[in-house]
Amino acid sequence: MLSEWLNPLYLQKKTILNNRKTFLRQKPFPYLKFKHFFHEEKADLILQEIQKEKFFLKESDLFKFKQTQDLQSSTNKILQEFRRFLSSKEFIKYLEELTGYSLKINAIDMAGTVYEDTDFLLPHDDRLEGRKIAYLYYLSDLTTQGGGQLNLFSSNHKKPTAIGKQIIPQFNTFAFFLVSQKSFHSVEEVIGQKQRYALSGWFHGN
Amino acid sequence: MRSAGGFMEINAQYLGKETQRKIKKIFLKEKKVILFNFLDGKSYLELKPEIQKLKFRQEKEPLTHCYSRASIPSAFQEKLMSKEFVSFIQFITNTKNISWKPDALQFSWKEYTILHDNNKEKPEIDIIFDFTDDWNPKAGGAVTYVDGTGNYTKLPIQGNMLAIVQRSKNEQKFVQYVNHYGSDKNRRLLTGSF
Repeated sequence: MLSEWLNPLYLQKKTILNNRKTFLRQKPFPYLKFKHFFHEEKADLILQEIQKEKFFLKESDLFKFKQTQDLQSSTNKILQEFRRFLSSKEFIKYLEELTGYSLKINAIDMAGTVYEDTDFLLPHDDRLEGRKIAYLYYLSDLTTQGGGQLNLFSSNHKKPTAIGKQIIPQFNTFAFFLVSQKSFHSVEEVIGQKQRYALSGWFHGN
Repeated sequence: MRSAGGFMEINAQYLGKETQRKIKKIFLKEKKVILFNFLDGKSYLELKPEIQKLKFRQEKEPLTHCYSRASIPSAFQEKLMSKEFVSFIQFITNTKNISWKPDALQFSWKEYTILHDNNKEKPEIDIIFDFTDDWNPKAGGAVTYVDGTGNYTKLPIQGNMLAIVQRSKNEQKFVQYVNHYGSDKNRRLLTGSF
């Protein structure tokens, strides 16, 4: 089942082992990003389908962007299939191999998000009971000037200090990080007309 | 009769007793009142550059705020608390002793405050004086009150505007993130509570 969805480059045993080592020693905290992660035709289809979903404005002191409801309630067959795959035993085992953390099968959150001009997400750590691995599946290409980068913060005494790493959204890139006391991150304000589509959520731990 | 000296010389339209009674009635009922063109025009034009001259230093705690703050020298503070201004506030808020020691805050592009459990404000009366002229409404930066049940109230952004807000137990405020439409301006406020 993994090979039906994933780029075979990421399924080689040696690659998985190397990626795990990389994940665990990454700074400012454990994360990975995989370009061209899914088969291109799947990625195209997912983007096409998520754009059909209804997005709702989310606005507070901490953020402004648009988000779908959790895709568990979507009737879209393609999105349901994708969600089933990501929460399947096979993919969860694969992610466990990559991260070294025990994760629950059939227990993920997934929503579509779109950031448009002036949308942002300010620094926070994602910590909520059960969340173990946060993920983002990017469905847009943005440049540095366009904003929308995922900023990963260095921290000191459980407080974020400066941006340690930036991940620029690129189509069909799957990024994920360990949720912890150190996992401070934000999304840079989007500037201009280019929309930043993504599917994101959390894998839950045992 | 208008008292001499001080920065806060109130616009004559707010000096009438009947007007002040109406404002007081609104404040006591709504717990909030917003007064545009609050200062006498000349007084505002004299005060604004004095605020701009203050030494603003950026403070950055990513989880709670990013803005610049200037401390207000005591002589300046005395001029802010003119007899006329103090009497006005006392009357409107039905409070005998006013001790308003505001901070001067400046918000530029990418600056904000975030609500945080460690920064919870106790119930007080906020006085916010705005020096932001010609602000792009798309730029964010509004002082926003939340009541803990998902209801948001944004204050307008306008220079020479005074807001008096009585915060209840669950009410907190934040300043919205300033986005790139605010990149060519600074948003300055005097804000303090009693």
